[in-house]
Amino acid sequence: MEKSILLRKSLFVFLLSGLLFPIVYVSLQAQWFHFEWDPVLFRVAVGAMQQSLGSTVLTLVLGGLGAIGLLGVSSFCRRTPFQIFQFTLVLPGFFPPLLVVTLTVRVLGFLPTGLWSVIFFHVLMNIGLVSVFFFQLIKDRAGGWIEVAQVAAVPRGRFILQGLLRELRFEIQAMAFYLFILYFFSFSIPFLVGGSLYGGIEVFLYEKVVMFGEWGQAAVYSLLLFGFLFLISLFLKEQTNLSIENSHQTSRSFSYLGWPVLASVGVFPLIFLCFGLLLSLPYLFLADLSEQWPAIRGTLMVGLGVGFFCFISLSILTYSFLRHPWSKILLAFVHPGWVVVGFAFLLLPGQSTAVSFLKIIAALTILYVPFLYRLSFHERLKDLQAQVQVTANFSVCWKRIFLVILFPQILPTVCFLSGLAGLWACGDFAITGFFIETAEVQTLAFQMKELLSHYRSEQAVQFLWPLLLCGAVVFFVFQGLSYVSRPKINS
Amino acid sequence: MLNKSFYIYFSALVGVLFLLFFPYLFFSEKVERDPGTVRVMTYSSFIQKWGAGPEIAKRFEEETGLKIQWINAGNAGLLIERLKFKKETDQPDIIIGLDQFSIHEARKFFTWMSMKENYSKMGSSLLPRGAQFSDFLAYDWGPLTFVYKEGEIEPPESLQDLASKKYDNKLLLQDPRMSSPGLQFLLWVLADMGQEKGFEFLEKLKPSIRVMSPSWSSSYNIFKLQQPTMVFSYFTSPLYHQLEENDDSYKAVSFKNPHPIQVEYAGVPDFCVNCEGAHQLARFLLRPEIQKILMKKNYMFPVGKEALDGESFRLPENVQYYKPIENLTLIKKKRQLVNIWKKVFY
Repeated sequence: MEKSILLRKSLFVFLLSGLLFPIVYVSLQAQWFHFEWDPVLFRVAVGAMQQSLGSTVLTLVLGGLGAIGLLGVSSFCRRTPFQIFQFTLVLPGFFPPLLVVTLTVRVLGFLPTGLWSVIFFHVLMNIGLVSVFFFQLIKDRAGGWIEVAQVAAVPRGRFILQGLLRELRFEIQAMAFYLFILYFFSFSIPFLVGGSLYGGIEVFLYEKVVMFGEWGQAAVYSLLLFGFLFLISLFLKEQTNLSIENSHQTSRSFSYLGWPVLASVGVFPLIFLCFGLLLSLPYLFLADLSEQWPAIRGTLMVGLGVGFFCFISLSILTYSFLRHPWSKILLAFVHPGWVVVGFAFLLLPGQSTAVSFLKIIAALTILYVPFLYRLSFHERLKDLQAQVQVTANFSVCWKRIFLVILFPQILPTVCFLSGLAGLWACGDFAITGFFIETAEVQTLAFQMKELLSHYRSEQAVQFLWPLLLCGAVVFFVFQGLSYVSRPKINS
Repeated sequence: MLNKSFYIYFSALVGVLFLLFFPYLFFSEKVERDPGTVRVMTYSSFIQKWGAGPEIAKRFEEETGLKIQWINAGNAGLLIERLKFKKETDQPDIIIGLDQFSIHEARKFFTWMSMKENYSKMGSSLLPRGAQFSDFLAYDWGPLTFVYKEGEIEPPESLQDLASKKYDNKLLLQDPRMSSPGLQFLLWVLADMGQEKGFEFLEKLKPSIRVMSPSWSSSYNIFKLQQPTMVFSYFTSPLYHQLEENDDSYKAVSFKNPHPIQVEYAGVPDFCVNCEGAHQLARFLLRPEIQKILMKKNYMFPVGKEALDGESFRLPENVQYYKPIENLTLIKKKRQLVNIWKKVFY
């Protein structure tokens, strides 16, 4: 057992070193650390705090309603169409923000700016994701409670307020923390529509690096923010209650709420999505898809590669299964901005096409893993703690605990999160832009961004359909991995 | 325990990844350094297939037998930062894509070889006075102004007009911390009005600004969708719509005040390995046929007059320009100016 603990700790430290690599490598190269207080940081942080708190609360409320809607719809919708429906709800979060903003201008006819605009776009892009997560959570964790409430004839309103919210308070807290960090470090949306007051932390760091070459300051500020978020994470309480497993009755109790609730919450992201897709239709027929094959291949490789390495990283974390204080480190882990991560890999030797793709995949994996960990992985791991403890008491070897208890149960979450990371990676252009070393390094999202930067916004839209298709392929490849292992798990 | 299907599926996934990766591993272009190579560091859009880079590289190789090896610095703003961290393995012979602001930074950290001899091969120059430097070679340029759609907005006559009521919520600008045109606008105002009055004017201009975006591309895309607005862009922007979209309605504003110009430069650092090849490429950039490529791909004006022959690109008439050299005193105070700008807008 001692040996296995050492191995688990070593694996965790190995993974953490990988995550820390960009900031350490760039700081060694730049030979810094110097500190000079910039009073603007305080104002930027307050603005970022306001917009991220507002966005978090609204996303949670509307996402919760969306989850109830999904719960109702799932009772009468078949499995495959329902999965596709969930996929479409998640999609707005993976479009390049510039495209989301421009499409919204088309739909609304004007561009709103300021605090509420930042909140609007954040909620618009993430409401589907949160709905899907809460839906999964309610099914997995609170299914039994719903049945108990039904038997006891508890009114639904009271059940939601006093039952579900209370029962899932730790998960809601974890999701709130995930969203808060996501919004706090959001780059494009605050910058595009936030105006000067809500420009965001990432912009501040970007300015330090690109405008003044102050890598040292950027790193010190990143560490300060990391410390601040770490302190917040210390207040997150651990879950102690046991879940009651789901049964098919869960969904039925909400079936009458299904479409009305979902329609009111999810309608705008979907209208927006359909509108965007319809707009791109004429351009699709103008485009020669065979010419886009290198970009399609590159996109698939980046998406699948990032999904694969996220799968491996999350599997390593499952094997490590380290609790407090180790888990807190990852929970609070925030990267010092994509520009530092991209630059660190850019400085590494090697400029061939293969190496460039590997750098893109590695950089994106490093950026996404802490997010995936916060998103739901951490909570799911905690669920299994009681089972692991009981089994360990019987002196079962760790390898067996991992293979028989931990991994099969966490696999659906790992696959979903890896698919999500792959989907995000398909839409990335910021990190990819660092590594277009040779003409062969191409991805659809990067080409879209380059066309947008050269007057050609209409041509950029023609990449939307292939990009969506690639994202769907990557997402469902990882969902498939979970699906093929399911029968054995249930047996 | 996991079932057999999981392992088969997982192996298939690894196989697919390998198949996608395999061609790059064994059949992609080799980028090892050899004497017949010139290493060029530039920004990413220059080397895209719709950028000027690939065609220039092809013609340069055909004519000189020298191959170009690109070193991508990501975005143009990162060129100098990238150069600071260079290693022997990725030491460039020439840097393409610097502007008048980044050459100030470039001089602080590195020594640059003279370009005088390369300039001397050029015919008559279109470049405004004061935009040529002995250590950097200008290869294209463009005046900046506001672009609008004819009939939708009344163009201003002077910079001061922009603060008037009729332009409330109509201007799309770029943030000077993130975007070169954004910095150009700030320096334009300060050069025209002086520092104190310039910042007072910016304070007055706030109601006119609809969006202050991080990049030229985001403001330009919003401009295309959301009119009536005016975007700070290039004099050449309407030419794109005219030539590519047959749309004559986009117009550039000619101000009474002298306009700022954006100049793109190439520089050969003293640590170059194939220095002769680098200078050959610098001279090659000034050839009329290459100037035409740069003009059409970058939508910027050429530096050589001959490149305009037979083309629809025309320089704006009755327009005065600020010399980039005049901005140098301001750019040296960049940090201080940006801090004051932040106080105005934060």
